[in-house]
Amino acid sequence: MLTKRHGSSRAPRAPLSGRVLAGLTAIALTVALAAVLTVAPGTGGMVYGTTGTVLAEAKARPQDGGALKIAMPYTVGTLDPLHFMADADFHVITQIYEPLVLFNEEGNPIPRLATSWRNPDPNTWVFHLRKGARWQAGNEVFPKRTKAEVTAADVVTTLNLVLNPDNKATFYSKLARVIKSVEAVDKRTVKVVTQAPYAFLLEDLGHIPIVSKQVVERVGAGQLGRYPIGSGPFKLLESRPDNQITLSRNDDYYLKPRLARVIFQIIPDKSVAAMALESGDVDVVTQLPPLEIPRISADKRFTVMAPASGSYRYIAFNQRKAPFDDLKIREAIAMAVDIKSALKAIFPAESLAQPAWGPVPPGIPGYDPGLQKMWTYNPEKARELLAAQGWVDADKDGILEKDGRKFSFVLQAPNDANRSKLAVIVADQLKAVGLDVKVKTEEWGMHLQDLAAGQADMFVMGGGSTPDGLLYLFHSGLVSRDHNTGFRNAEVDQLLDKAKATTDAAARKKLWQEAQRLIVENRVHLPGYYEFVNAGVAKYVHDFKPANYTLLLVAPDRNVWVEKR
Amino acid sequence: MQTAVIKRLAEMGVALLSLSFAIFSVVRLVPGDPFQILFSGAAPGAGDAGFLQSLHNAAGLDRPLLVQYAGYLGQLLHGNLGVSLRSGEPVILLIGRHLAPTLELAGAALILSLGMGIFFGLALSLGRKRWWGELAGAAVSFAVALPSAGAGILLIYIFGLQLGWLPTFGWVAQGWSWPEAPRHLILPALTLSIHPGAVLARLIESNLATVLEEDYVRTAYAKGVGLVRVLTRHALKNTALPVVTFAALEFGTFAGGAVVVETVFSWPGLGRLLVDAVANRDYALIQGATLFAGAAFLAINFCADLMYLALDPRLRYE
Repeated sequence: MLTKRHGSSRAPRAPLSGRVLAGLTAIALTVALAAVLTVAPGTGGMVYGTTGTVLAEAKARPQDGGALKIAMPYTVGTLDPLHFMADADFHVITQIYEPLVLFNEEGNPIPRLATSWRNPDPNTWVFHLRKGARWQAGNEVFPKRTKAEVTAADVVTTLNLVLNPDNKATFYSKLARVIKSVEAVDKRTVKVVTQAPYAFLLEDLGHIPIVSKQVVERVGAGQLGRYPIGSGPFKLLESRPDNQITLSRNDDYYLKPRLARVIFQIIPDKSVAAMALESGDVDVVTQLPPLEIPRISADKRFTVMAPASGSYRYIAFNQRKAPFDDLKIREAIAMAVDIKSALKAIFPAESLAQPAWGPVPPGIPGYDPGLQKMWTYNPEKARELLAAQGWVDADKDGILEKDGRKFSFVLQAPNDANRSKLAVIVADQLKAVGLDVKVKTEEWGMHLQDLAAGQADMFVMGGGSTPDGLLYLFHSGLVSRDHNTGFRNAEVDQLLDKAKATTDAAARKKLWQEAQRLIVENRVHLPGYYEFVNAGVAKYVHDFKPANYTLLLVAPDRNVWVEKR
Repeated sequence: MQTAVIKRLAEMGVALLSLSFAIFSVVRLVPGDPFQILFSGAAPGAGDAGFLQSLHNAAGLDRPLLVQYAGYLGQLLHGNLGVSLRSGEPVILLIGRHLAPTLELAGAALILSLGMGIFFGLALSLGRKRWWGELAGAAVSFAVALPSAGAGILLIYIFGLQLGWLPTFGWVAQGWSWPEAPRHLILPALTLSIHPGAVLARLIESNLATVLEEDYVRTAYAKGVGLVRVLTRHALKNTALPVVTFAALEFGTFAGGAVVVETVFSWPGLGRLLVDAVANRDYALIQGATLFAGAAFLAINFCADLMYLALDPRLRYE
């Protein structure tokens, strides 16, 4: 706030330039402060799952019509199907548009625009499109009662837009190194040829909403965000991306949605969202604040639901910095960390997180509960191992030294509540064995920059909770700048490369687990937890499951509806 | 007088230019890369290093700072504030869309805080050594100390959840509809006005205390003028200048967006636009929103100066 004058007896008649200067300084300071204070959304990433949350379904008969009001904390960045980034964007976009396939809570593909697909050879994918899938009508491009079918030409146009570097599509760099060519075989058959056998093509195509060739020709590839015309179950009615996005039922959709309206309400403060649920102003809250969960789950009017699959959170060593390049040191530090007791202190409800023993979360192919045996908590032994490497407390100040150098380093965490708590607790546990750990919490953008530059000694991070996640966490040639540990292991690279080229799911899972074991043996990360963001759902909402890979409101196995009250 | 006005306008131009340069360089010097932040939310593996570099180059971020700034100034002269890096929308459209909610809230909060300030200011000065004056004093001290985020959550809890009288969030996007729009407006406007209202009460109290001891007030009393008339005809008029100054500063600040209140009440105004922009390092949007806030602040202060001239004839001859 600006100059507040308390109790001055004269009119505050400071020279105007002075006031203006003060005002402008305040504005500049606000910007600078906001840079430091804002809590940016977590890495999240899409999550997939195999263990669906089974809902106790009321025996009421499904009702048609009505509106579902969903509260989300994050502003929707864009509805542009080629340029969306965040989960929140995807959740809205997949109501309006359809990719060839989507994935359910079990991680299985659900046919959307493609009804079936096959591999005549490992490099060729043939997709057969749905008969009777139509573009939404009643807009600038397709007037009312137009029956424009979705054809192979639309799919080819969309994929070529993604593959053209000029369009700067979000998935350009990921797909351009995989796909060799896309071709329409006939009106309803598309052939995609890959450069090398690639196991995750379906998952990737599951992130590409198909756009209409006619719309692209009419408005241009750069303007798609302003003309959200898709083939999905709902049409866009009104969009105010940081306030409210209203969708209405697409009556031409091949599964008739029971909901007449879906309203995404952006409520940035999670405790306000919880109050909105309790007062009946919204029907679903996608992210409940942890402290409200015990209260809301005790309330008979609501159900608290966890998604089928969690998001992986971890603490990593920067192996570019000594002494973390030494496996023996990493093993010793791992022994000094008691993750279970840390989680008890961080999360007020068990539904929010479970301890992680490896980087693949439950619900993702390759999840391995057996990895728990590879971790032991033993601070005594940790001290012994550190002493064996020459780190002893010779001057009795409680901190270990070697060659006159103290074992002190910084553990850097992003400033979200859970991960920064994890850092503080783990730092305390490490202090107990004689390590001098300073915790530094950083704003998201600064944290990312430090990680990319390889500056943190140890850091808390999260992500990669997808079927292809290990590639971008641990493969030395593919690793993301956000997960920059400096880990480089030829055997791991080989296993991951081989898995990436293995389209057979069972064989790939074995390779994935083998790689994961090696990664755990190498103590690249101290796995922290799998986080499950809990949703709060009013009991009069039926058939609803929290978003896992995306929010599925209308699918062969569900059609969300609300009981009239 | 005309020359003074022209001089002021020129000063404002210089101030805006300096602000534009300061913000332009500050946002680029703050650590954090816009595309890195954007892609951190995308699916794993999307956006490799080469692709990020090409995005940087396309946005012109690889050029030297001064060259970038010169380009930006050229754009500004054409009335072009650039395009948001995150949504791809023109910045001017984004600001336009967030302006209505912000002005609605700022206007309502200004009226409420003026009302509260004058009411409590009078109560404080007239109620000295009386129980209701002491009560008003306690209320004002409490209000000065109340953080707006806490006050907002508390008000939502009481009126939205427990009593159920008012909605818990939001702004009515579908135009100004009675009674929905005012029902949504009450709580955020009240929250935003509590603090300035209390400060204004103190300001009026202290000004009145001086004025009421002036000779002309004593003369007025002496010739038999009643308290109400003394206040309205003589005393309050002389406290108008500080009130106008204060109101201008407050409204000028509100017009740039009220970050905390907008966040607590899910109010899609300029404050949240700016905070989101900073978190995403959406350079063009930060610059545009800040310049707008600065320009609004300057313009409102300029209007306040013109009002001084209307209120105080002495100033016209300076």
